[in-house]
Amino acid sequence: MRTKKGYTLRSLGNESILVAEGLEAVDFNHMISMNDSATLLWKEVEGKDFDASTLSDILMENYDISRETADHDVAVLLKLWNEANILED
Amino acid sequence: MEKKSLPNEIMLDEVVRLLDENREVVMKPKGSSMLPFIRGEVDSVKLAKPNTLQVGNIVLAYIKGKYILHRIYAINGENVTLMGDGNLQGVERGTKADVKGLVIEIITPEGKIKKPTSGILWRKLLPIRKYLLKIYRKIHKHLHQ
Repeated sequence: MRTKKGYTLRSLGNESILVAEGLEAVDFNHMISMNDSATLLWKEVEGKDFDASTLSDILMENYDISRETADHDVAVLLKLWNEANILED
Repeated sequence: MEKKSLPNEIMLDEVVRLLDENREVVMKPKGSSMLPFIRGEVDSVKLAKPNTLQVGNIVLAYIKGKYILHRIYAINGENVTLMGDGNLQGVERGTKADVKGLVIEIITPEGKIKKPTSGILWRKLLPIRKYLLKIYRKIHKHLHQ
């Protein structure tokens, strides 16, 4: 899978926000707030092919967590990203 | 991670920054002050950086430390007077420099795109606006029951 094109990660205040940006218009109606780990993962895999294990590896490199915890967190996150429709095949 | 509505001020600061870069921005305004033309938290607006300003334009302005999305009712030299279409009284006075964005489209939740009109008739009907808004709200309420 890949991150969907047309989304840009922006820092607004203390928040990290994923905003839909077309060729000319920036759409603040399609705005998704990202926590620290989601921001890290998005930055690492943006524009690249990846799967759930890629994300788990990144989490384990950056946080002191077991594979089991990483896999669980990634599964939750991927469900949210799919629901938000910000991934593509 | 969640669908988010940011504090208005922070979001609008970013909107203005993007408009300054000549990007267009789509956002959903809040409040009922632009009824019946813009329904707060229902309709979206597409904003662009304004080149010239005219009476009747719907604009995003930053006046006295507050963001407002209202219509221009008067222009005198560099001074502009704004008022919300859904308001019965109360105007905002600022300068052309306070106007940060111009509404170029109003987008309904169904995706229908409307070009904003100058609202000339609505502005002329200000003396009886109270009654028109009452009727509008009554019909609106009825339709959504």
